[in-house]
Amino acid sequence: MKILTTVKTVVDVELNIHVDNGAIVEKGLQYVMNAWDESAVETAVRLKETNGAETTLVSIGGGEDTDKVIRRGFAMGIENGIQIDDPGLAQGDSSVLAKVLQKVYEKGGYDLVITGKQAQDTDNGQTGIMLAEYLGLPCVSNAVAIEVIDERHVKVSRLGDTGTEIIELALPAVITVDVSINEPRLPQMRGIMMAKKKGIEVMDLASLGPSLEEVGARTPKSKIVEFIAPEMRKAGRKFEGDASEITAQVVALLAGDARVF
Amino acid sequence: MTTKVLVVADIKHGKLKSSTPELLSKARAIGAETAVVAIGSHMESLIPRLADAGADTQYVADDPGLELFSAGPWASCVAEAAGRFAPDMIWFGFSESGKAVAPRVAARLDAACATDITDVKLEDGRVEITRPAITNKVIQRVQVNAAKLVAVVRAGAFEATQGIGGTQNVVMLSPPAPDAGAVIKEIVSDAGGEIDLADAGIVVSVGRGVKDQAGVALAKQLADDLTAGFGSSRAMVDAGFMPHSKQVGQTGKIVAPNLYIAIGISGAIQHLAGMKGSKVILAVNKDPEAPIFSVADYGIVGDLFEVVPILREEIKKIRS
Amino acid sequence: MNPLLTALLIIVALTVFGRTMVRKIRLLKALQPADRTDHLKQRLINTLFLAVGQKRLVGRLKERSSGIMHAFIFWGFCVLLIRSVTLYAQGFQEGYHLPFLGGDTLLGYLYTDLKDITEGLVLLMVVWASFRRAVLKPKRMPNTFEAYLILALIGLLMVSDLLHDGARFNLVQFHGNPGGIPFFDHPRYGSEFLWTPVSRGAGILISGLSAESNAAIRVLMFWIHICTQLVFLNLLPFGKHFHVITALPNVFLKSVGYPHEAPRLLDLEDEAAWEAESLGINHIHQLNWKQGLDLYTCTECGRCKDVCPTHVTEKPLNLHAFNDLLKHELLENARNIVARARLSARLKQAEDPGQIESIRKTLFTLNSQRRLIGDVIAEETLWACTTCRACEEVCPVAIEHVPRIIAMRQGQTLMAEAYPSELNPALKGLERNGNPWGIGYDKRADWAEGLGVRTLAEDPEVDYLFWVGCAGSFDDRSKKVSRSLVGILQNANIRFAILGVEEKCTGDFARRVGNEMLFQMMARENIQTLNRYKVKKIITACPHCLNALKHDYPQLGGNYEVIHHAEFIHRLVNEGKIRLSPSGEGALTYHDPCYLGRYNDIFDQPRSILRAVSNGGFKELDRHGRESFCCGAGGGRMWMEETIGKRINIERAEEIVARRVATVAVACPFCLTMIEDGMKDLGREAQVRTLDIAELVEKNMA
Repeated sequence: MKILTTVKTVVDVELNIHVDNGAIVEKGLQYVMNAWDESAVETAVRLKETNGAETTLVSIGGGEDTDKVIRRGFAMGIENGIQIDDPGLAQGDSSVLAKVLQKVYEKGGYDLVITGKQAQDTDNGQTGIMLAEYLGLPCVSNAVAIEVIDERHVKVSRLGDTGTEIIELALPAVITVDVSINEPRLPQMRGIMMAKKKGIEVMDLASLGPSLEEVGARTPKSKIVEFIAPEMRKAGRKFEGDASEITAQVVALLAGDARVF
Repeated sequence: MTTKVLVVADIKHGKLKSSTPELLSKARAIGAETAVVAIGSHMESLIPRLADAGADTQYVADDPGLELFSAGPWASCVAEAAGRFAPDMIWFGFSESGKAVAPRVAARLDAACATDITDVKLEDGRVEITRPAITNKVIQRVQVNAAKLVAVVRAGAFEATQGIGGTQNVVMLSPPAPDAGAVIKEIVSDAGGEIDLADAGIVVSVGRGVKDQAGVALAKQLADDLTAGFGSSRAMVDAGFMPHSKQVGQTGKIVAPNLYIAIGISGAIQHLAGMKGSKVILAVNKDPEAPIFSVADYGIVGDLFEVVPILREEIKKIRS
Repeated sequence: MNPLLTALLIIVALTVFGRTMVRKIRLLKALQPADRTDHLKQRLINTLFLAVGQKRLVGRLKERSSGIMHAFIFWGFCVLLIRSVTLYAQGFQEGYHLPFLGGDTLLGYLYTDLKDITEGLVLLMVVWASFRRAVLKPKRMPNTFEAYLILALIGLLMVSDLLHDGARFNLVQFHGNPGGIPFFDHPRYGSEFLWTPVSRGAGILISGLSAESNAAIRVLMFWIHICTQLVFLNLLPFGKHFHVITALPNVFLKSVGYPHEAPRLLDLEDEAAWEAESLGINHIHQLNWKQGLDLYTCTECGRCKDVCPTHVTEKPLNLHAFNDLLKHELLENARNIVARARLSARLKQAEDPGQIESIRKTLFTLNSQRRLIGDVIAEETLWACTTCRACEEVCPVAIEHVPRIIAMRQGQTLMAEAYPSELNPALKGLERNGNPWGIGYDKRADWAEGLGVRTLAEDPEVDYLFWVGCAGSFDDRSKKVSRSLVGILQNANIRFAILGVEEKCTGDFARRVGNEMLFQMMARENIQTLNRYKVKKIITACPHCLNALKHDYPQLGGNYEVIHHAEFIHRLVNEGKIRLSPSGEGALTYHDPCYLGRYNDIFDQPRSILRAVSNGGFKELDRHGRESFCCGAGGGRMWMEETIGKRINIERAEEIVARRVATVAVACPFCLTMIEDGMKDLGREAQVRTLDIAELVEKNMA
């Protein structure tokens, strides 16, 4: 079984994000592997360990941060790495990225694509599903469990609106995973050392095949006009004292001032 | 040219959820012509409601094959309705189904796609949306350049106009082909009738302070009294007292109800990220220095095992 | 007596003994190297006090009586050594005595007296020891056949010599000395037997027997004594009594200066080490010779168990069993280990790749069949340790338990990649944001907002760096301590700054759980920052930071003067820079943090401060000072759950509550968390407040 995992390099959401003049302040920010993609990588590596799958990781982006993220994937156990480094893709939205990934998939001929269900910078949750649409492959999103049935079928559990949906998926297919699917392993010393030396197949878009027009990078469907800092929540009133008294007080306020009851 | 908005009806257990009239009201408010597409089985009782919710055309796909949700067929139905209605925008309510279907529709129609939008405006004939990003740490104002927009709307972002009403104009859609590649075998349902955290008006959440199953049950009683969604901090999920699907926080669910009641939650940054968008926050905690009090509008410092029963009493009194 | 027989016995016994010792020493030499040739003077002093002086047995208030008992047996042996030499010589020549100890010198008589009393005393101690073992049965003591055998042999040695001299007395006194036995008889000092009451007593026991019987007894007891001693000598290397021979060297060779010599800095880039699996201790042959000697020397006294916080709370860490299991594994593999050492030496000389390959293959087959962690030592045992060093503090023969545990953890983490997965969030947090909670590094200085604290970047020319640490920066409770300390420093007009967001976790806990990779990464980054700012003096409120900066960083190029805040405050008070006034807050006690007390010898300064601030009096906890009871958070355990037995912090909190104090003072953020949580769990947090020294001082500063 050949598995393709997609991984995005994103801002570390543990940090504060500052906005200045409608733009995000880059200073002090650090970039890490998207948490959902970490779970995707872990899923792929586990399938390698239990089912002997061959795993490949692809990431769209450039610079040291993307390189570090790909090598983290190696350290976790991914065998092959592809990097699509093209500045023209820097502003690409989910549909552009999905079209690029479509080309990567077509080049390699995989049985299963596993991606994180969303990226922690855009919070979109679209790329994986769009990729499936462009490839005309079946897709299950928000997966919380995957079980291999045979060479051509996997059983996927996804969190739906009315409960956990159990779906039989025919390969080749695309699965987007939620973080609750597994606890991604921490890269260990041996893996890290090996990852340092491993080669990454780096391509710009032209080497991959399509032009920027073909993937829609020249005609963005939308444009971020500005970034705004959300309103800081301030502390309200704190009540200490006799439990019955203060609780009654608060409930009265909630019903009266706040009108939530 | 009037803007046309197609709203995908949010149906759970045969009932229309509040997001549908909310989205339709907003569409009307920005001066759009509205239509709704409803997909499922045994739809007869639902169809009259669709017009009342604020749609002037109702596209209905009613087929036994649509009893269980499957993203592919759903996307086909929406695409078919879109093909007939030719909307400028297609809006989904915030649900797992919505999130699974919207990108497919956007891909098929080559439309722009935006998830979790909190506002939409028409500016000089262009659509402008507002949405949060980077796990709610920043807000984006986005200008849509593409001809069409498919959007998933954040729960509670829009308000329903009372008695909005619409024209009954039902168009039946042909049943879509089932998805041969992704066959849904069964649905293991949540404890029946569980209230969705994402669109609950009130959410009651538990943290480590409730200590154990008995504490969880105590808080659940309060939630039931209020017909509220029941959520959890990461600590209680990690400790095994609550399922991950109930986790509110950075790697869990982001909620913005009218009232968020945090019981025994200290207020770690990751949890706050998930609920600080709530309109009103009430916190109950023994520790006066707990960080939750820095975001709570009303904070009760006390032993939750004492306070929660009193809360229930007082709420009962107020309601009667 | 019989020179031929004596000679024969001695030759045979010594030959056998020599062969045994050669094998034992060869095994040690085949283990990894260790350098213990530093600080010779300190080593001699240690040996004098610990080994010869039996300091940890006699000097320790707890169990002093049994300590004295053993001390007497040991000192008795030392005294009787001379006697033994004399006796062997008498096997060749009747009445032989050593120069200056003969019947013509006072010294000779004094020695004879001493020897006599000693033998009696030792016999008494042996009887008491046996009674204690068999009847009182102290919990820490494993009762084995060997223990009783040794006691019996010692008893026999004493009895035989006493009866030997008793018989001599009888023959001289009552039977006119028919055989012409030599004995001391000096005009001034009198008869030898005047000076030997115990032997006389022994003699009286058999005085009813005839002269022939006494003569026979004299000879018999002589041979019994000699043979018993030679057998005893040969038995020693095979059990816990090997310590009789190895204890002095073991004490002499223990780490000096600081509790442990700095752990060998692992070169994680060393490919050969990866191949040989020699990062950390993964196989028994990777122990160093000193660790091997430690194993030989364990006396199985079990004092370590009595003070070990994990053992006391019923977790599966039993240090004496740990030693024992390792020792057996070592001895079982002795032949292979020695062969391996030889082959390794050959491997170094080898040039032909084919030969190298074949040697490598052979080396592999010489590995023990049992996995060191898993088969010999259980995993949960290895990870239960809090590295508190209480065991090392009470061990009478100075065994170094903790470095061995850490080295084995290194092996598990680096090579086997098997460590408690509970640690992962903390390790990931360290890697990504420089703190175990994983909170964004950009918030590290938020605690100092509004306090007028400068960062080194803003003000590089200050006298001191206040190293805040992760807890002091991110943990809500500990942030208060940081603020209190700032208040104190500002009040005393000390010019200081913090690193702010440039500070990262020292990596202490990473090192203690064996994650050398992460530790070295954190250390190198911090050292780079500190050196860039040319930092010389550091004040910190966290003993773990103190310990890492002071003792772990030098081997990576970081050399700083590191002062704990209790030391610093003490200094400030002495210099008159701050004045403390006591407040009527009720009785106060102090919980000595392991990493401040046992690791860094700071006991008095905190107490001096606390006495100055307390109106209500200062009380010591039962387990205090060098024998303080760990809070349970060290060794990385802060980040793991305790699932077995009683919780360590509850055990300590109960002890504090029982002391009836209003406040317990701490000097470490881990202790603060653990003890305060313990009080909360016991429902006592209103009764007993847990406060850091800085908080108490800030409140009571004039």
